[in-house]
Amino acid sequence: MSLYEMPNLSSGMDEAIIGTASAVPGFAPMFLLFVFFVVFLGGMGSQKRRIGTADAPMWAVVSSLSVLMISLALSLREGLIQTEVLGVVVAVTLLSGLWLFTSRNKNEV
Amino acid sequence: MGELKFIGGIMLVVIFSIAVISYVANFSSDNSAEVTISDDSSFDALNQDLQNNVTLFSQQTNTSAKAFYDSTIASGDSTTTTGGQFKVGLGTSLTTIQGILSLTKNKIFGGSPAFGYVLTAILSFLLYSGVRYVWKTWKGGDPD
Repeated sequence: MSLYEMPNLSSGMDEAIIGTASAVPGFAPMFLLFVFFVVFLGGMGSQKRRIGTADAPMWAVVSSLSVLMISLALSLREGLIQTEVLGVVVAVTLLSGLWLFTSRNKNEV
Repeated sequence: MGELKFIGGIMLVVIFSIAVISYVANFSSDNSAEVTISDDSSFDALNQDLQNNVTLFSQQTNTSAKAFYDSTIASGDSTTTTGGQFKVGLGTSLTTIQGILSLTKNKIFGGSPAFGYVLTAILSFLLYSGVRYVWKTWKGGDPD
């Protein structure tokens, strides 16, 4: 018995991704988590290198909105992402907004 | 002014939340998505609650503004007796934040009551900050 069976690539790349997601249920959440932290940590590191400080709440909003956009694209096909995962992504986006808008000092947004 | 910044920040949170939920729901509807948050009624409920609270905030602001416009201060008075015009907005705007935190608790942490304490602490801190701001604006100085 093989550990993993290759998906059928002849029916399109999306079928291959859906096959991967069905074989490994954590594929989509882990992919979204990866994108979130790449944007979040990459943006903060880049900003800190340029101006000396990093605006964590702003990068949290930017990265969660990036993940939300990818999640919406994934939601167009059945089997790529579950409603629970989409709900968590929306909830994280709302929390990031809460963090951003309650963390501004009086000279900012 | 601190209170304006605080209430303004909460209003922006509410508008941001309404925009995100509406966008995601409408995207799913327009593109006939297989997976949509419309399947989960809690998002619709939160969106409706936020919109109702924004409407209530607008009505309260109008009422309070009219009362403030009609009010007079006798010579020698340093403040109003009720301070109603300074207290408007805090209650309804923090109710909206409570809705966002409840949805976060249910969706991210599966409704675990243990995490509810953390979110309650966040909400309590926001309420505490708001009361301090209102006191400072109404009475002047710090409430100590």
